[in-house]
Amino acid sequence: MIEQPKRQISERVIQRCETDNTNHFEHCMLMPTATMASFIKIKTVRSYVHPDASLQVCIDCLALNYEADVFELEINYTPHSIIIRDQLLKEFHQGGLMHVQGSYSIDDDDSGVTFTLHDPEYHSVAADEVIDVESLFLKNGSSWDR
Amino acid sequence: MSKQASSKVITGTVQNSKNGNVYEHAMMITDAMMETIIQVQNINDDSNAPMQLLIECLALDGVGEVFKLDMHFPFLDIEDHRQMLENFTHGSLWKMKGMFAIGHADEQTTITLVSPDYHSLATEDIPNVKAAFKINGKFHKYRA
Repeated sequence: MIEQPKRQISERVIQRCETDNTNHFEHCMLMPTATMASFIKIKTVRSYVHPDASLQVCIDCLALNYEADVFELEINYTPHSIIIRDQLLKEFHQGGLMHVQGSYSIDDDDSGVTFTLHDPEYHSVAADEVIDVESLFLKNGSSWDR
Repeated sequence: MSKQASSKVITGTVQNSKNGNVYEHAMMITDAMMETIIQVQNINDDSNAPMQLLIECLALDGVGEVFKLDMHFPFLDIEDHRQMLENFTHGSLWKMKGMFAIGHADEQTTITLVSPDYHSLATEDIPNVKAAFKINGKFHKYRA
């Protein structure tokens, strides 16, 4: 059974800053089991403290699909404490390899498709796989647009 | 293709059939998996390739947004092929889980599940899933 929030349908308003034009649209909130798992290689890590004191860690990565083609992936963590935030910053560093799995969102608009994982579980890559995974990113890293 | 010693990586070349460009490619089957709920849009039953099916779908991400997804079943026997044509009717809903490929060419990105496992939805979930495809697809470029 898919868990349903009490209010399933919400209305969203998006205002375009440049033009002040607003778009109203409905969204049916449904949280199905939609997970994605992949190897990643970390490009950049950014940490934010928002005005309401909430924390966010944004990670830009390259990732591998099942036949080792490379695609761009974003990871979004919303740590509930500074300790967890610092642990993430310690483990996710530029060039690092990880295996991640979690709920994903896909934003498909005119500017392209963006894949984002939200608060995924992560594990280091097994020692006997590091060389292979590293070589896949190295050899296929330029394959995103061909 | 040549297999490297003590490695699971196979190296070779890939040619873009449209522009003829050749690229080196290193291949290893990874455990890249994707799980989602889909709604069947179109079935490409190519008579020149009778043992495979390409099914165009809409799918839901983790917050119920709609995106376009293809499913490819490359190696089917006659009975599986017949069964799938019977199952995957236009508009039908399925839970899918399988290996995914992401292609990017000519500024178009395609997401494909390859030989995924599929299961029917629980009866009580069907109205909510239909509502998500209908309402969230309404403002999406791939309208349900």
